[in-house]
Amino acid sequence: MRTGPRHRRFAAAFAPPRTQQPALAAGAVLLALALSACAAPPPEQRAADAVESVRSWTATVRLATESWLKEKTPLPYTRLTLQKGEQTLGDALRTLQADGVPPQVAGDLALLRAPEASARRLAAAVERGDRSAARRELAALEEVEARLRALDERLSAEEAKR
Amino acid sequence: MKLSPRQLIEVALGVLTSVGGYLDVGAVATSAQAGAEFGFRHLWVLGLGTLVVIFLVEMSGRFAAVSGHPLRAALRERLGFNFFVATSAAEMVVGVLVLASEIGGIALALQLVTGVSYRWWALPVGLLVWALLWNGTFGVLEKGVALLGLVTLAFFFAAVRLHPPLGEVARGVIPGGGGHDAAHYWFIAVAILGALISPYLLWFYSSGAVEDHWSASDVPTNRMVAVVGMGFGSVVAASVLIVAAMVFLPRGIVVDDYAQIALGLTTALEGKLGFYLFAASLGIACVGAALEAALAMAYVLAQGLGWNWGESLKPRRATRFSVTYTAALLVSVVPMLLGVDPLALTVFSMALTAVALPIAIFPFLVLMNDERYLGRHRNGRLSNAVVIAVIALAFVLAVVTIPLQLKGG
Repeated sequence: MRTGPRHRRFAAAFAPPRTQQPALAAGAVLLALALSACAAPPPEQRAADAVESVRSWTATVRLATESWLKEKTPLPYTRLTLQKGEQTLGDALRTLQADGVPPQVAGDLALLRAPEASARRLAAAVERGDRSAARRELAALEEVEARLRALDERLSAEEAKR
Repeated sequence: MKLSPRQLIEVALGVLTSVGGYLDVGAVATSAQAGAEFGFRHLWVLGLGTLVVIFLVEMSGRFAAVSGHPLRAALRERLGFNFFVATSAAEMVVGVLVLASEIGGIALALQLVTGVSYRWWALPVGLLVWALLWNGTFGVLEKGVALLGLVTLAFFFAAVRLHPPLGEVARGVIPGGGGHDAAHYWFIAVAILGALISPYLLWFYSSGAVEDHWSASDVPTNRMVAVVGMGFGSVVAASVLIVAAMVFLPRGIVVDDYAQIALGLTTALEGKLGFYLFAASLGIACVGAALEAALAMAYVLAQGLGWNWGESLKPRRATRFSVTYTAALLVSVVPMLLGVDPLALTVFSMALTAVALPIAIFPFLVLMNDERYLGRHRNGRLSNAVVIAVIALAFVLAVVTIPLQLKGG
């Protein structure tokens, strides 16, 4: 198959667009919005983001371990997911603390730290194949998860009031 | 519409391959994120996107069948060389990002099963896709991989098994907003539209029609395949969203890693079946989409520049065409080798696709309304209006929500 230059007869009748102003204008708007987006988020948003992330990965770690206990997932997957969970939970906390802990969660740091340590212990239990240790850790994590849910809901309610 | 037995078989095969080939890494990622964070509230976006895909796929097939022209060659002759260069450059950038996302999806599927990091898989996966392109023919690649893609129906069975509340599902089909997190809601809506309405699908589909020597008699078959195949295909994407809404939302899991998405099918199905079906679905869907994306880039350049082209030709008979998809693959493995987060890359690529949609789709509509190419088969007002409205909506939303999303992290 061969196509292309032989069809130029149409091009003569229909010249290409003389101006690309609409595209440039759209690009300028996008650039302006992108530059305005560079400002750091306010403390209440940083708090909400951190709690959401910790809550999400706490639940992920728990679900991944439960699936492993029910023999629904292979060991390599469980190992990687727990490692990722531990890393993400740690990152969320470090990001939160980097620009000063927002007052909204200043009293909840111990709660926010707990899942990272729990993920580490679960990863060790899974590695050893110690199911009873994993079950014990899961029971403790369930309680932490409930408190995180309450914290998340409290922050959402405060956000809604604003 | 009366179809001959041969046409019926073609329709059946076309529908099966459309369903099997509907999902790609973008549809999986964006649907899972939508379901996890907003329940069923993005189902209407999937419906809207599918409607536009049906229109566009039908148009691109009709164009190839009636005019016998490859789309990009026609666009160049209709709108000129400068226009071709400008639009092709934009599409190549987006195409490489999409291809990188698909390669990331395959590598992630392998990581899930083996535990070996996706970064190690990027190069072998790139080689595998290249080898398939180099040695395969269009028919084998299109139909073979898409039929394997029927494994994605696992999402549908999982969704049924989870017994979603039908009233809430029905409410999700009605357009609504995102509540307090409106910016994120609309960003995900944009990403869903970008994932579904991929311009590469048009270039691939119409080029395939030319490679398969379609004629005007294939127009009814094409229409049936577009409507039924894409319609059923969207059910698979909706199932991904429903599974995510049922499994992740109640637990407060916000999807930011493919490992989390795997837990959806794993939770819904018995034993290890769900886990392995997810890995297979992700891997096969992404192989199909990577083949399409790489070929689409080669089609765009080769048709526009008048090179020999055709996946059914031996590489030595279409050298520049083959070199183009080889180069596209080489560039696309780089982000994964560098350890770019595959899910973040996917969602961002899909949103960027939405920004680029007008560049690809509006000139295409100009072509679809040109009597000299299509005669009495040219577009009607309804299809023009629907496509223009949705593409404009996707573009405006993308321009507004991408910066807001960057601000929100």
